Amino acid sequence: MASTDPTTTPDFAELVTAHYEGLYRFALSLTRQEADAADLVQQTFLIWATKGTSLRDPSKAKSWLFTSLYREFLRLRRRAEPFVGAEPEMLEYEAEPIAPDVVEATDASVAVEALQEIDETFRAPLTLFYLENMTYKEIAETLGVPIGTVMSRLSRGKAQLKAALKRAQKSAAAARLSVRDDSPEENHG
Amino acid sequence: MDNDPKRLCALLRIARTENGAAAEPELATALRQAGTDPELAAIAKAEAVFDRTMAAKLREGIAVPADLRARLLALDPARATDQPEPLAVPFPPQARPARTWSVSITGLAAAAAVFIVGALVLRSPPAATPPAAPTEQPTAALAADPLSSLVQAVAQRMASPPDFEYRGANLDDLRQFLNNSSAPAPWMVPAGLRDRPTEGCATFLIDGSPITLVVFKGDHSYRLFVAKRDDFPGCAERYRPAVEKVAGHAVAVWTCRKALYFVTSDSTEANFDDLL
Repeated sequence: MASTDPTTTPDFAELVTAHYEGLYRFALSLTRQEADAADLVQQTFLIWATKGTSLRDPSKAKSWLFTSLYREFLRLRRRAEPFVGAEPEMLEYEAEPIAPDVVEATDASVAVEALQEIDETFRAPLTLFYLENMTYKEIAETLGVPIGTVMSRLSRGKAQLKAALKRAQKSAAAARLSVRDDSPEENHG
Repeated sequence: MDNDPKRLCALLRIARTENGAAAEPELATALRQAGTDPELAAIAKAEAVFDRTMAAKLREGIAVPADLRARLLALDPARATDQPEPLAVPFPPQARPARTWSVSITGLAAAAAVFIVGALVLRSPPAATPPAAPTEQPTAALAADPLSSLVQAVAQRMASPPDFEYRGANLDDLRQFLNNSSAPAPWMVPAGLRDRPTEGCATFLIDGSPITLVVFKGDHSYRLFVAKRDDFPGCAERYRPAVEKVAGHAVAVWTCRKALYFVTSDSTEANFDDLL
């Protein structure tokens, strides 16, 4: 059957259906702008339409799409990489503990804002780690960095994420208090 | 792997079996040690719960635009062959005039734009449209939306040479300049154009709406115009570049999110197949 032939080029519509949500989430984590993220996904599939069909191994289509999207993002951003030189591969030893019930009680939008707050260098691997369940090796291939760098970025990214979550929760708590203080007297009884 | 407890804890914070930790020697070792050490096991468990919860929250919190899938499916190259409207109209050899261009690019640009506008205006009322040649199918409803008036205004503007505000061969530099100037920037550019060196960019106003012009160099000169779609309400959405061939000249049009793009060429031999 043609559809199971590993050498067959993946069907465009199937490819879109299978990966557009993941690609969009990854793009949003990079651009932080919904319109730019959608444009980036669209550009990625345009590149696929012109070049992707020459891919020899269809099983690598997902990896190809994510890698192309990331490269396109970097190209649009003029390759202003924060780590042009050697990036130290180091794990974050000091990570703030965060109680599971606190995370569970966090609003989804707050979680997204916390992710958007952290440096892009760490945001990209974390998004692939959390939302795409990519392996360390796949993340390394997508971002074009060694596996050691992926581990380092995940470690430091998670530490930043926890710190951002804590800040967000403090802000939310302060906002709740503020709202309570500003409430008109008649609402209290 | 050393037995530094701090490093061990740091590794356990990122070691997830579902992400292939077993295949990475250092992570696999850390997980094995956690299997025999209750304190390390507690750390690994708490981190795994955190990761699962975060992943679920992020999936819940990031809404994918409802129309994105349809927009992407419209890019399907296979669908282009099913449709009567090809993605790009190659110029039939017999329709190609001899290349005798020797005048300036600007003059050609103005001439091309005037040809396009003239043809668009003529094609507006379908009853008055002369029978189209088989290879000149109306690929886009250019005359049916405000695009024709925009192109007409641009044609008048192109009668004078572009006054480049920024000259450079790198499209990314131009984008940066335009973005910093709050002018419409060409973010969505076909691969065939993207790989060409640029000459420069200019911005101007048409009825108070900002328009950006980017000139690409190469075998032929291509002029890309970018406008804000909000400034031209009623302009039909074109997910894929649509090419209209008029009097030996072509204009390709597409939209992407908030921007409207169209590109013209100075040459009748410009092949939009290669470009798009």
